[in-house]
Amino acid sequence: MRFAFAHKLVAYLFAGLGLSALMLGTTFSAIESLLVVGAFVASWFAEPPLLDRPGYSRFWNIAAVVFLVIQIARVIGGEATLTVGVQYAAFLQISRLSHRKTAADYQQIVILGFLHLIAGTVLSEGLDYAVVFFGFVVVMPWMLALTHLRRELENQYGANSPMLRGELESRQLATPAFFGGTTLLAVPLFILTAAMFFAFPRVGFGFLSSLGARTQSVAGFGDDVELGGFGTIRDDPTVVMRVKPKNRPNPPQQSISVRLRGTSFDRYGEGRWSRTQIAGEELRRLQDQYIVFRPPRPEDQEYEIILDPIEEAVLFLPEGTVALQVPPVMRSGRSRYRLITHAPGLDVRYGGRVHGPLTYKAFTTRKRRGFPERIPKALRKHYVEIPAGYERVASLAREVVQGASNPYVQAQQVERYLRGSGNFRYTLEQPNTEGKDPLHVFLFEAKAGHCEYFSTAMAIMMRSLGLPARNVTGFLGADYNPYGDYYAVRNGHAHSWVEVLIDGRWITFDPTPASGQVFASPSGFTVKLRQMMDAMRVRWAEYVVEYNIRDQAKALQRLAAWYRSLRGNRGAAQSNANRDSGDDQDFGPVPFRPDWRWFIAIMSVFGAAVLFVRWSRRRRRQTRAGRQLDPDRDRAVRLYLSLESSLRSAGHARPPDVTPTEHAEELGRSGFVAADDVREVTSAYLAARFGEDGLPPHEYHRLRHLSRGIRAKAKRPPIA
Amino acid sequence: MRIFRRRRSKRKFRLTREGRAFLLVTLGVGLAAVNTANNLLYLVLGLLLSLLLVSGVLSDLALWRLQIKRRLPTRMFAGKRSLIEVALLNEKRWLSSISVEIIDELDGVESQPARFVRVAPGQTKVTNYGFEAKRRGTVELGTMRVLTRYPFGLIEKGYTIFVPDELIVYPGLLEHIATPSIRPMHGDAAPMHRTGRGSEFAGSVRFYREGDEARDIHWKRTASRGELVVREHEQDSSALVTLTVDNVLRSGVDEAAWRERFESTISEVATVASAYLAQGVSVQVQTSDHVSPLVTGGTPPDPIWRFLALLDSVRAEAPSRGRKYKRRAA
Repeated sequence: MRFAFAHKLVAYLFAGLGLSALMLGTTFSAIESLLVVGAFVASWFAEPPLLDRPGYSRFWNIAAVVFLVIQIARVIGGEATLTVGVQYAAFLQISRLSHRKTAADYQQIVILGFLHLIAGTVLSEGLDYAVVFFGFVVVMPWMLALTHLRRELENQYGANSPMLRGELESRQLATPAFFGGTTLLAVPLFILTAAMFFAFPRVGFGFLSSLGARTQSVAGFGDDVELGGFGTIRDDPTVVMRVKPKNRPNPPQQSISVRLRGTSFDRYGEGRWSRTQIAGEELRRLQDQYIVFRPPRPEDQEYEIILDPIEEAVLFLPEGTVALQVPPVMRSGRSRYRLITHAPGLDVRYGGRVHGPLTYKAFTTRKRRGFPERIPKALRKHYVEIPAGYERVASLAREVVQGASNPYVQAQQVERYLRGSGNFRYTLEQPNTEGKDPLHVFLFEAKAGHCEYFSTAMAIMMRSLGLPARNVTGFLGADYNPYGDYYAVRNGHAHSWVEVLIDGRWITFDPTPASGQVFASPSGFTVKLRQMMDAMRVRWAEYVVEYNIRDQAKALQRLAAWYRSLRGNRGAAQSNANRDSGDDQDFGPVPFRPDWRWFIAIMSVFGAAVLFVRWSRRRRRQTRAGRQLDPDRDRAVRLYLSLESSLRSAGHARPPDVTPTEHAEELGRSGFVAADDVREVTSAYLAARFGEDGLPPHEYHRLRHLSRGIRAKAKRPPIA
Repeated sequence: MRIFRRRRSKRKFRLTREGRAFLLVTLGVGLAAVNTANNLLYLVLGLLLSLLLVSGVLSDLALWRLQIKRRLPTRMFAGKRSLIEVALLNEKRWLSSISVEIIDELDGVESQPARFVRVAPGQTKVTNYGFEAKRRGTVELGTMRVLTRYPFGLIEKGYTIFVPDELIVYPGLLEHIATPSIRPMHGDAAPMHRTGRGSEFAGSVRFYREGDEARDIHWKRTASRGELVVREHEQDSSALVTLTVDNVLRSGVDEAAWRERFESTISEVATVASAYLAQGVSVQVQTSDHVSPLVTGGTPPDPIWRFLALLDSVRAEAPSRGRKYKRRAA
């Protein structure tokens, strides 16, 4: 590859990665992103001879000043400083790319790219940043090395000299070997970076931290929800949270029907559920455990939940949750516990900002008899409230319960009516409710809908029977991700059901037909790919974004334990490790089970690479010889190459304008100690290469041994 | 007192301007990481520090197993720029040495760098640097600094090797000078026909000797014989000129002015001597205390130039008379 082209290409890769880091966050709108990409592509062509007008560089300098003034004005006008700054940073890179000429310009591209990478740390903490970062690890050595070489060339020949132009057009520097070598640099760079990352003591203050993670919007957990919202997200494969049940069966089930409760709504009217705003109370805390109903017990089922940041700071609780364990935020090396609040309606929310997925544990009781909840007076009436005009629904409810007086039986009959009577069908298609009440349309006309319609119908029907009921939103079901060993809850798992207050306890009823509750686990290549990506995202968040001094201490303890175990003191190590870890159940001996399949795979790849290199060298040699060599001639060529290598090491390399015979004679005249050997090998080479003589393998090995001995002979001091 | 001088010094390194800026950015990122506790900043910090480390190791590799030789020019004149060649042999088996710079030391002053962009494994490359000696005399060459800023230009790493050598700088030659015509003295015989620099080609050739002029190479014969061959010329006369240089610095004279005059005299004599020799006249230079070798006409004037290059002044009482030409029969 021509040096100039290689440098340009690498510079664009580098700058592109930097701009990508800037565009990861939400600071760029779609149009702005398109503009940046367009300008980036256009700048590739903005170079002589296509664009070489006097004053072109001045135009960009003036444009930079003008744009700066505009951006300052925008900040004064109330625009977010970060947005404005990021836009200007992108403009500067585009400007620099559009009028690059010398090594100094390329250096500026490097500096701007670096700054973009650093800015990216504030804008995004997701896996997308990880991709950009690893791109930088690979491309950065290329970019820095090529820019340095260009600078050296300019120093040597002058910025505008024809010699420099010649060097820039030459293919001698940017060779495949150069790129191969600098690509290999990514390996030590990556290892060192990882080592330093894990070794730096995490004693950060946490001031002016990142902007927080980008949150995703999930319908159903805000202050109100409109009937029909869930249907549209049923096919959304975006993962919202991951669930790791403790003591899960092995092999794991492909999917589980865990019910994760989000929030509940008490008021219904005009096809919309809403929640009465009542300030939540702080949950009682014991260390990092938060008591919802009672402290956890050993017999409780434990779920570890990794929740992606969503707009609403809701904590999703598996059915029967009695307590939570939420890790503290580490700041300045100290633990700061999160504020967890509990509002009526079992609305459990967390306080503080999250920078990535929030990991917490939920402890659930195995007894599912509903849960008691103190209901404020102001709220009590809302749970039995029915909007005007729902007499037909009430009449239907009475008809369905058929005079049953037991509230639990009544609820079961309504549930069965909606779910299993065959009168209603689960569908994602939205019924046409224009100008009509959606619940009436669902119950008396369409008789089909999705979970929200079913849950709303049951809640209103129960209320019409005088039983307090509320609509609950959350997620139902999760699919196993084998790459991350967890169950992934997707947006499509969003669900709605009903809680009815019976004998002072809220009991869960789900009137949605089974077809609306059970979803086939998706499969196929794209699903596997998505699962892989999600597993990587979780690991990235766990090991990089959320890594703190606590993890660091644990890692050090593990390292120490492992070291002690290596020294044969395994028992002591185990006991020490257990003692050090306190009550941390995550901590245990470091498993070290070498996977021989990986070892064999790596060795096979390595072996194949060695064979390929040998084959390509042989081929190159034959190509250099200009024809396919017969075995004797091939051996002769290899023999002479070996001789040349030995002579080079001995400091008597053959100049390119001297023939092998002349060189052998010259060495003889100069009194070189191994001149006879050189002469013998040279004669054998010439006879086999150009004459009719053969070079049998044994003779080849003897002569090769002789030629290798030249190096040692030349280094041996002469005997006086 | 230093009795033994290491031939090769230990490796030394310093940060370049870019390296210092890079370190500054690294420190800034480090501060930001501590301040914000943002793990991604720690990651970037790790990358920046790794780059510095890798850069240090790679620059070591670039300097590893190199052999350096200096080739001095055959003639060097005061006030005239000459090129000194530096040959670099990369003895590594697999790795190229990229972006290596060699800085020589001439009379304690560092030379222009001789740059090698890429030397492939097992290859020797030759490059040069320009040097202009201000004065005639000897120039001592000592240490050579071998440097590299490869691969990223952040760290400059290098070592010095001690390669002692000496270069004799001939006096500067004047561009235009009139040479007094040579008239045979009474009793001179007819011109002897002998080889030397003259106007006519004698028809014979001989092998090239160092100092012969390139214009005398007989290219056809050179091509047919495979070795450099030069034409021989017939010497016009058998005249000999002795040029006298007064190198005695007498007391009471303005020394600075005298030395200036003395240097210009030497340049003049060197120019005149070469002009006479080119005309086939044999030349010898005499001073108050030394006599130069007799150089026969037609041969290269190097012995005279060398004598003049090393000529030093002598302190005495009587005032100086400058130079004069003497002529006598050969």
